[in-house]
Amino acid sequence: MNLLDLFPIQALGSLEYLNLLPLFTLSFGAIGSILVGTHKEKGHTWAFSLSLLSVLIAFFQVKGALFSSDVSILQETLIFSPFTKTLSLMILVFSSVALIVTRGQDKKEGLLSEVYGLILFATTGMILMLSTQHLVFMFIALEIMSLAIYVLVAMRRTSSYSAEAGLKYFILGGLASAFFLYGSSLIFGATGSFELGAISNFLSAHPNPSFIYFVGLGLVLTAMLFKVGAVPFHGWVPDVYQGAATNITGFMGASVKFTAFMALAKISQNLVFVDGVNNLQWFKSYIWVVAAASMIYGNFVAISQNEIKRMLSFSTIAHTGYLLLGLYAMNIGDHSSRDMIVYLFFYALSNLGAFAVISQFEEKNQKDLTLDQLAGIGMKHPFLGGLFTLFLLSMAGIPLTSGFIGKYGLFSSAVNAGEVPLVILAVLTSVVSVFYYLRVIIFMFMKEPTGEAVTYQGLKGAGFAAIISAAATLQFGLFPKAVLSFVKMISK
Amino acid sequence: MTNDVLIQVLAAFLFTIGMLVVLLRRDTIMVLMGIELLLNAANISLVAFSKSGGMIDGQLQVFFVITVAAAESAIGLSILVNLYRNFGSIQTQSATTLKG
Repeated sequence: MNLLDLFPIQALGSLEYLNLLPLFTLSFGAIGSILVGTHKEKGHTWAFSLSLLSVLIAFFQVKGALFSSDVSILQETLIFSPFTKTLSLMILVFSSVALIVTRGQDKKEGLLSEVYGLILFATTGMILMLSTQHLVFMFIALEIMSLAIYVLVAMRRTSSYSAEAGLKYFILGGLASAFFLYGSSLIFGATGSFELGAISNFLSAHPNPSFIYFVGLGLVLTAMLFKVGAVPFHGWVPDVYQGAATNITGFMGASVKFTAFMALAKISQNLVFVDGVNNLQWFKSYIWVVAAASMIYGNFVAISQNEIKRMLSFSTIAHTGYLLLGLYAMNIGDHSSRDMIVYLFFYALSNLGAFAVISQFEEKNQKDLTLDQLAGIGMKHPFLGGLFTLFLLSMAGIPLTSGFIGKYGLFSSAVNAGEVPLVILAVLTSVVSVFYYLRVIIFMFMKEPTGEAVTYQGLKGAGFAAIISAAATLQFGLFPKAVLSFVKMISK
Repeated sequence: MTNDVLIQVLAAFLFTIGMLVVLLRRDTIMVLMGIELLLNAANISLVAFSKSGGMIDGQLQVFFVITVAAAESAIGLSILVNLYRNFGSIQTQSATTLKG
């Protein structure tokens, strides 16, 4: 067999290059910012400027090519359509906010200047993951993203918490990646393809796939549920959120969750929610149980937490549960994954802002802020306290913030999909969640400061990023129509 | 059993061993080796499936997976060094400060 016959070398046209250009910009920007970061005094400043510049250039490159005709490279391994490009734009927004939060935080926590390059590498992996339909390519993109994130988590080198979190995330993440790879190998063996669309067509034609298909599907789903941090695969979430530097936690909570969820949506849409295939209802109930368990566990454990980052990590597990509802809504009518996208986008922005505010009050190598330390902060720093209140209200889903719009869209489309019991559970548990979000606000504004007070670190980057996120949270909460109709248009 | 099935059984066996090593061993070096074993078991299975199906896709993907595995073990070892600096040990039970 001749390799060239099997895989003819395609000359890439200008349209293909136009769509690949942002990826080149990001990767070369990452390498460049690692190189200029070696300068002794100006290293951090240069690395920051170069990486922010490349993210912005990549943003405008994607935006410029947004509505060019669809491109598929290497027999649909990489697909660039308005849909995938919009997701890439969102990722680039999160990355630029994360870069701005890191500015200032890097000196305080003793992070090396490579942190900027690594954020860019992770962003590249995320964009690849959002643009692919090929299982093994998805694995490679997942690893490009995760390997950078493992290092970012372990980057507070003098903090033992960070080393521990890095180790835990690495071991469990490596296990999940191996699950994903072996699972896709088994799916390949059963269906003869790695392409999600081709597998979906195969399943429609053969309603009784062989046993190994189900084993492979179970492994792949488990790996993706691990990456999004759903119960019972949530063990790493609280530890990693606490151990990582706060700016990295915000970045992870926003971008990694967004990417992993969109990949999970793609996989479950093509491999699980296929009509007429026997035995797939087991996997649907698997997702159902995981969603219900995540909502209940995340919300009830968050109540008993006294540390703010740990509390937010349990609340993110609960949000994972709500988002799994979106998988059911995806296959009804013309809904596709648009409610999940809107919810994730809004949630990620308030998440980034909340962690930016937390990083303003943390000492170097501090494990976490306790609620007692937060007491009275709202009176002392009314502006930051107000911003933090806004982010918490948005996560709780209070009207006039973007979180409400996301939650409303998600729940109502899940009702349309007939998942009424799960939606009732989601509404009830989100009432529980209001309790612990409001408790933080009460501590900030209505309690007298006790004992050890926290010092305001005065980081310019984090303050600026918090203002951006707050503006977005309010803007999309009050006037959501533009985003909603845009996402509706591209996800057709 | 035919050879195709035997190779798949071998891959599944190696995957199980790797998973047990990752979950049960306390020494982080052994855990790293377990992760490598998991990826290699998946590689064997990929090659065998593409051989029996008469497709070359799977065999080609293995090259990429090997590259990823190398990068992963490099990062794992550096995280290990960092762990040793902070805790003075590379046993997993030494790193248990985050709880709650």
